[in-house]
Amino acid sequence: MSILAALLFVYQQFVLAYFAVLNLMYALFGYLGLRSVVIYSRELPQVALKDLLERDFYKPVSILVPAFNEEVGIVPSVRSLLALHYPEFEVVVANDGSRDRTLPRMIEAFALVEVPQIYRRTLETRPIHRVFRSLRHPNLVVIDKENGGRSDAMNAAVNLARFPLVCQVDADSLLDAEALLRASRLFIEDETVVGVGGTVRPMNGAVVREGQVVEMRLPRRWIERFQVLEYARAFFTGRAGWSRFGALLIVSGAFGVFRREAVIEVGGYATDTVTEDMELVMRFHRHYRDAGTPYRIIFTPDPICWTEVPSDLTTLRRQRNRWHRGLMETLWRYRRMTLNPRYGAVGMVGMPYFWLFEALSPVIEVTGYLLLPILFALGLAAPSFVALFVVLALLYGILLSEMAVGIETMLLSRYPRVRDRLALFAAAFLEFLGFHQILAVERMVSMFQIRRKRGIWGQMRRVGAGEAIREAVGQDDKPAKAARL
Amino acid sequence: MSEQPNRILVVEDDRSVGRVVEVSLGLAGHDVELATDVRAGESALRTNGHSLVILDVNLPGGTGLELLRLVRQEMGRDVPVIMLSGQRQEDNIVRALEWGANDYVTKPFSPRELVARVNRWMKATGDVAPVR
Amino acid sequence: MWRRYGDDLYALLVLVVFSFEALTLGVLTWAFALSAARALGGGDLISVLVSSVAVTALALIMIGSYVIAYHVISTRRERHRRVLLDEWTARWVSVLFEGRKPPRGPLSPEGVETLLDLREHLTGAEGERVERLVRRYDIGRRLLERTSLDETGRGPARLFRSLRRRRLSGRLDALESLAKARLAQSVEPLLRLLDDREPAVRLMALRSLARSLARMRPGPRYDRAILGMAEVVMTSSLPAGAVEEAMLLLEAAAPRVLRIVLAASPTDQRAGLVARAIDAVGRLKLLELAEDVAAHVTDPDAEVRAASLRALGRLGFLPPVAVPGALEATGDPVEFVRVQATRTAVLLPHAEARTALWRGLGDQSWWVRRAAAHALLGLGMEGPDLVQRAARTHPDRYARQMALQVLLDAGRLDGNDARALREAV
Repeated sequence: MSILAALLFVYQQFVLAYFAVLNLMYALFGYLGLRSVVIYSRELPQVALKDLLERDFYKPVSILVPAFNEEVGIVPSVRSLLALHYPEFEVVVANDGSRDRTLPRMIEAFALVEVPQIYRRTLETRPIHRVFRSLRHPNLVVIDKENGGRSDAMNAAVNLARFPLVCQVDADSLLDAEALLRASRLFIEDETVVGVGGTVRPMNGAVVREGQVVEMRLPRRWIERFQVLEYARAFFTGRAGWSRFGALLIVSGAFGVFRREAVIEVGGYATDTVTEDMELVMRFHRHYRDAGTPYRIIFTPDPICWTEVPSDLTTLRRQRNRWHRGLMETLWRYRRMTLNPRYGAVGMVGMPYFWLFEALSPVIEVTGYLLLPILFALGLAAPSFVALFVVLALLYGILLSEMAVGIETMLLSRYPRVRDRLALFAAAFLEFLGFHQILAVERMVSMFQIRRKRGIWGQMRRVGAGEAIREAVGQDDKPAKAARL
Repeated sequence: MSEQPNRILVVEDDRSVGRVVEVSLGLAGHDVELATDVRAGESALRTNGHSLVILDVNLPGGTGLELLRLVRQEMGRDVPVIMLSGQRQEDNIVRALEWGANDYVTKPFSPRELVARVNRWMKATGDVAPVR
Repeated sequence: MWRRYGDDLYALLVLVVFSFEALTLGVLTWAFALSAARALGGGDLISVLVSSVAVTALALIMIGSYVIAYHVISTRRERHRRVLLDEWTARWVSVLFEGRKPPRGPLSPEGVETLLDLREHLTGAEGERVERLVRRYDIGRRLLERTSLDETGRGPARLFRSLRRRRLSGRLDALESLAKARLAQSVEPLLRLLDDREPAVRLMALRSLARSLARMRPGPRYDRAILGMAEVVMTSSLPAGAVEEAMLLLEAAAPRVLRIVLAASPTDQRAGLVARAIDAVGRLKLLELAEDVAAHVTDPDAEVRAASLRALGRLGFLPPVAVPGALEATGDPVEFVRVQATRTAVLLPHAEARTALWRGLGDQSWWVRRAAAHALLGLGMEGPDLVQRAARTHPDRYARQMALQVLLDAGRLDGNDARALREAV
């Protein structure tokens, strides 16, 4: 009994120390994130942005939009992309063998006509049946291809893209007016930059007009509000800090800009993963470190992409389950980089951090919760002790959310109403009364499904049926959008 | 559509440029309507008649070229249009003129010169500004 | 876009709060360890825990109230500021156009900002009056003071000032204003800022420097500034793209600076910068530098060769001395040089151009083939016919395909023609 008690106590001790270190990291990243906001917000003032535009000093961008069964949203979303404020760009939509009316809708809306197209098939993809161009929009290309999954569709779009930069955007996301300009400028200024990620924010509740978010409103459902907090924590505090260390492991699949040649050089998007966004970035790191070529993958808090987040728990749980599986898979695939000095900050800091504080966090969190009643039941801890401990843990979580909300307040396009601000504070409290725990459990559960689901995938791949792979991934096969939170 | 001769529409998002154009044209005896983004410019074009239009190129919510196209193609009007823009690349200027702009003034600009050009175009189309 | 005030303060607050939190957790961990070793009573452990909860709650309240206060204050402040900016703009415009007397200095920040906005947009008689106003209020000196450590003064006052002035945010804001002010007096101090420790300061100083130089009047100081700028371009530690951005901002000063850069020997400068300078010549359409660029068409560095060919293409002028080099480059071993050379080949004498492009159509590189087809199409009146002929009779199958594609893209074929040609291809 006393050995068990001692073990439990040691574990409790470990959990505590774990949170202490995590907290320290958050403090550091919160601070670094803020410092980078201080610099970024001034480094490219409106004057400089105008200078770039007026001198035609930009790189043209190909926007890649993979579409699978998107008949509802595809037309407005492509229309909003075509209305973007950028001097030279094209939109390449890859219809990934949709079984609904995605393609007919587009043909009708944009007056698409089939064109014979000779292109350079640099990345291997499933067969492309037809290529369309629009009679109304010279900068729209639509590819109709056999179903092969999101990554395969992206690769097909990369093959047809004409411009030196490619930007991946989800069919259910909107780009901020200046987003492309702000992101592409980083490629011009520094030729070693291969990828740039921006901030992703939920657009549920916001007022959208002509493809632009014109007014911010907090969504009505609490489940959406909690996600507003999660995105704020992830993007405003973590990313900027990692970017500063040169150890950014994720560029969100919802919005990322890459050098086309670089994507091709590393072999395009991986088709055998559920989180191709993280996988690609990891591959960049390994490739360029192995080759000894200088490169940079950066996050800047400024270019903003708006995205629709799940508004029901089932979809959300499925999404998080997939993200976490993807995270584990990718970390495992690149495990040799962990603590390998050859991979610099990525190997020495980024990877260990992700293993310890992202991959394992649901386990630690859930067991931490479970341990308390056990200690209590065994008479090893007084009720007051247990209660205080729980309160302390909750307060920490809330504090981190509040800090992120504070950074959001400094954005010009923030939630303007004080009422919304107060509601966000309330959400920070309420999030920890069940929501957070449910997702932690879901993520933990997902860890035990990796093997099983991967097995299914392997089998399906041998059969070689793209659609079957889709089914296996799940009905909501939305992209690995917002990166793990 | 109410016809208001001698009324000049200026679509310009920059506060100081808008004010300068407004005052300098006002002193020259013109009546000026100022719009600060594409939407406002579009609704002004659709509801009021103007004897001349001055368009900035980079605007919130779009570009002045879209408005130019609206005037020329969709509305089919031949009201004089002067572009006032920081874009000084030859290609951009050529494109604006090809799309039907009558004149192109680059920023930074001289207000006196702008007024002179406006007066010339008004004269050319027969709308001479009344002297106040 | 971000609000540009209160961010420093918030960063500090976050740092302090979370350091405290980390400390508290450290103490708590230590207390647990002690109690596990029976060195600390249960009651003591509880009181440590209670104080941790109290500290965290306090932190929560601090951050929360700061955020709410910031939200409310910033909303008011911005509304107020908008009014002030409108008032100041109206005041300056009335000074310029209606003969109103200029207000007495020193100016408020809004007064400076609106005046600099006018400086940015006006030339001619009014532009000159704005410039005189900027000088009259001594805005340049005030801004320059804010960009760097002030060495004057003594004791605590100096320390205080230096702390305040060293604040990065303030320095960057001042540099932005200097970029708009475009003052001759700021050129030399800005040159000194180019080896600042902070990369963001270097970048913004370089931009402001280029913009100021663009409006400087000729004279000995101008000549010195040109040399200084050329030196910076060749040796700056900033990324080459940022340096090129500055070259493009030089406007009237660009030809002199770029001529020095192009004439310097490659050993005197950073790799990649010559190519960027050449690119700038093309983008700025500086025809007077065509000969200087032409000298680099046969450069040993492939990047430089490609940049020269592209720049000459943009200028639309191939100086006679560059013709042999440009022709030779259509057979360059490096793919991207060949692509550029093929695009520029339209500027070669017609007979040479035709031969080179016909050969280019059969190149092993897809990009060269495409460039050749496009260039051939643009080769004067006979271009379209040549491409048509290529689509039918070029010995290389890929060349025929590419020619066909380019004809289709350019809308030179209707459906029937296309089908007939397709079968032929």
